[in-house]
Amino acid sequence: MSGSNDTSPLLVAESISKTFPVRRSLTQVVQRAPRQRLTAVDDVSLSLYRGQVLGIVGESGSGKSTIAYCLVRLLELDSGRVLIGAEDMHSVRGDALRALRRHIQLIFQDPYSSLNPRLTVGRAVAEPARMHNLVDRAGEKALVSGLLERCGLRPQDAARYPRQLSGGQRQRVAIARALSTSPEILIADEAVSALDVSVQAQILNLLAELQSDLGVGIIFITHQLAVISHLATDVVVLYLGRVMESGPVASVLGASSHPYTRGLLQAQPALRGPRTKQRPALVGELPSALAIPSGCRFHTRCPLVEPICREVDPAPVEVSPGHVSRCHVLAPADGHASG
Amino acid sequence: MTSASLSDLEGADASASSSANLLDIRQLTVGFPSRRGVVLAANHVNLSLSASRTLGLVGESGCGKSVTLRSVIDMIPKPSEVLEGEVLWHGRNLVGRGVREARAVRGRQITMIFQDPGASLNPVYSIGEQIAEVFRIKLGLGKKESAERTTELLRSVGIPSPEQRARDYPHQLSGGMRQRVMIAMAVAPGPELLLADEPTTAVDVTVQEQILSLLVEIQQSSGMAVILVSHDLAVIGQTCDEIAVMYAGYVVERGSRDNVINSPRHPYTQALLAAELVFEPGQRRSRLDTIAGQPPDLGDLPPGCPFQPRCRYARPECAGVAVVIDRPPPEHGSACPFVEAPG
Amino acid sequence: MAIASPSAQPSSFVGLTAQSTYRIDRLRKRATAEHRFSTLAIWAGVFIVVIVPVVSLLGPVIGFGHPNQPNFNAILEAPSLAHPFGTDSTGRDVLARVFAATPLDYEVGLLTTIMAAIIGIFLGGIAGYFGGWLDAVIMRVVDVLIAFPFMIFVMAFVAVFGPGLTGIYVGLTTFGWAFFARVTRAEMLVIRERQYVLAAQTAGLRTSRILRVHALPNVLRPNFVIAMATVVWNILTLAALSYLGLGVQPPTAEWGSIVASGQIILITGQWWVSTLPGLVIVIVGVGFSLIGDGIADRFGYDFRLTV
Repeated sequence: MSGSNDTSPLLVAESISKTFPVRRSLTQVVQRAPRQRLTAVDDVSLSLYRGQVLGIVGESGSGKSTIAYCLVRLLELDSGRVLIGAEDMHSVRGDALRALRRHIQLIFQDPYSSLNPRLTVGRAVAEPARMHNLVDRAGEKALVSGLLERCGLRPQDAARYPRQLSGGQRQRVAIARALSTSPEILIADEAVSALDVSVQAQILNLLAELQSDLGVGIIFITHQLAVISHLATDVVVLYLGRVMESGPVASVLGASSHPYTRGLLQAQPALRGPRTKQRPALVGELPSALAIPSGCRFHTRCPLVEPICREVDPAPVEVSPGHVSRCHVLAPADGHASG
Repeated sequence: MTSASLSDLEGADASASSSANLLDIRQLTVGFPSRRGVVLAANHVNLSLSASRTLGLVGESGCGKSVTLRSVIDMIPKPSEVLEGEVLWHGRNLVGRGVREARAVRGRQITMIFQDPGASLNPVYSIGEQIAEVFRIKLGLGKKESAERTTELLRSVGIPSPEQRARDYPHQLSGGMRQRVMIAMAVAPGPELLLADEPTTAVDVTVQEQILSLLVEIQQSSGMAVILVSHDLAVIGQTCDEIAVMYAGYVVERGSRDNVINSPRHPYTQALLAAELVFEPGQRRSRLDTIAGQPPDLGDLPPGCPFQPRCRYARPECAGVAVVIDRPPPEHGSACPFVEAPG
Repeated sequence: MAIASPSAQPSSFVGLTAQSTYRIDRLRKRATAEHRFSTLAIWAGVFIVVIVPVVSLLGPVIGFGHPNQPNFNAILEAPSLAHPFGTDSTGRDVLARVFAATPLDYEVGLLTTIMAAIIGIFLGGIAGYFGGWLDAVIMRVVDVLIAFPFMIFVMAFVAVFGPGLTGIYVGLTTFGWAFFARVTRAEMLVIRERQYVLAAQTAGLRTSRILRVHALPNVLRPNFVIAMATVVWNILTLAALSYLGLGVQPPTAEWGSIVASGQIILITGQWWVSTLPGLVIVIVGVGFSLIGDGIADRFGYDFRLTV
């Protein structure tokens, strides 16, 4: 990437939005019901710097995976920009797009379908590098061995097929493959959710190691707050497609200024906590993404809801350095929090 | 069942007083054929449960916890078979070759809920109809009374506007709601024991919190016993009185929740607790404790203790260990004769 | 309660009763028997499919007479050592004619299937991968083709191209690709969402490479089963058409035409001209089907047509 130095962001997402059309049933067509759109991502902005691990946390329907796909342009945006270095991922085409893809790679959730069953590990890992002409036939073997070892596998594993490997090992292969073009940005989409507990820790350690050794920026998407607290430096909390709170992990999770974040924190089952728990933090269910609630979209489940919450969407307010929250009650615009 | 009778049961030696236990699983061994021969998904499992208690079965994928749970009501899918052992319900055996006793207790005295609520809800009937059916058929109630109790039950599991919602079909409900309906159906016949197979694995953490708290509430108010299976140690720790840890088809540790979590005796339990992603706000651990190696291949286990390849305390004597819990319930037992709880 | 000896069993079997080990053996035997059975089916099919052409090629060497040379001294002789399938109404050895027909029938069956498969997999593949109007257009064509009464369709082509094989080749191929296309498209819809395809897209691979390396190879397996069934179908169709006089013209030997030539004389008791070659058709059909079914059973879990 041209012109990047240590202080400029690796990636900037500016106000990205993504909606999906919803198919109408015949009855609806006949009744001329209005076409509905499902809002997956609504005006989200975030940035990633070198050396950062940015956690994106949210539950189902939060749009977190959609954001991942938008960042690598597996999905087109409705509006907004995704800047990799200085270039907009979504306005380049053809060879320029291909060249940009080198810098940002994705690690998927399911280790059982993220590898082509017909390719050996070696071929799968080398393919992106070969595609971008970063290595030739002669150098391929060395590249693959190096990547496999860095990811905790052996060079001999290059000849094996995915079906011969366990879930954790496949995920390591997926990481090695993602590293093959030496990207500056790695996006891990629930990369450990499908793994056993004992293996999750191994993969998280590996990612932390890679991040400190190679200096890649990592965006880690997950629904598990515990993963965020272990791995991430910064965090973005999503609800129904919008950022509710964001900032350094210690600040957002340690001194949260949003009722949803607080609800998530309280909902974590506590291994050693008292057996009898207080009432569940959040009542109700997630509203449908086809009908986003008015005002603050969280108001239907919020324990601190006030009349203004139903009418006005809160603006983002900085409650402490780098820590931004959208809440009328806990982060009011005039600076007088009452939570 | 009152707490008075509960304390009568504490301290009793299980093998001698099996009649006092609600459920006694003895030497349960389940096998299935695989390419490499027959594999034992559950291997001489011994567990017992008293009335009104909650037992958590925890372990990673392939450890045998789901198989053990399903064998309680003799619902193991073919080609797996119960090869040995008994499941004693009030002293009566429910499983084994030629034994057909489980059918009588299924759906009435012992009920089950699953990970995927879609599996147990029939898409062509409304949820009200399905619950009312349980009342009519299992309890023999009349149509009107069934409908009333259905509405009451839906309300008690936290479904708003139950009279209207009763007419909804499963696909109109969200995942969390469907899970509540499934719990309602399981609780309707007033069972003595509820089996829960990963009931919150597929839902969000905020919904999980609601479901778990609902389960605990129901359990306390009705006095039914619960066996909860999960791979999430925190979920088990939050809700269960007793915990049994499973690995490669064996029970490797068993005891009260406080004992197992605060003074784990088996190396696997210790390692699992250390590797557990415990949430510590504001603290970034630089490196997580992991369990080396990979999950066990049931077709290729080493002689003796199956945890050897990954155990930090492994020694040659481990190959001769019989994987058996050393102390009878309700004491805190472990299958490892060499390691004690951390000081 | 006897304990099974540890040395003969996997170590996790320690402590099992003798009765359990007996049941374990029974379970294992049942599983391997099923496995062997489907493997047996495949090999039986392969054997049949291979032995017929091999024997047919060797036929002239062994010398049963010329398939097309009339021999008015030996009209309608019943099966004997000299003529295992007897002779037909012009004295030709029926077995020799069956042998001579083999290359023709196999060629039609296999070639039309291969061509239909290539067209169908390609069109179904791009329809499934790209979607949109391409998908809509191709699938509508497929729908129309499948809706057609098949025989009439092929006969129409024969009518256009005149008697002989050309019409049949074109007809069978034009009809046959529709099935492959449908199956391939369904598979492709699933595969294009697979994470390894998404990973390839993210890595910036060219679409042609993604299709060639990642998508198509994984689409092939269900098509194989369809292909086996198509070969059988096509051979039978050719036989039927020749039987109706629309296929090969006399004196060319073709299984169906041989059967047809013997139809009239069935009544008068000369059964061998129709029946024995008919049996050959059935056996060859069974052979290909066994391969297809055997592979579907054996690799069952790889053959899901939908997730």
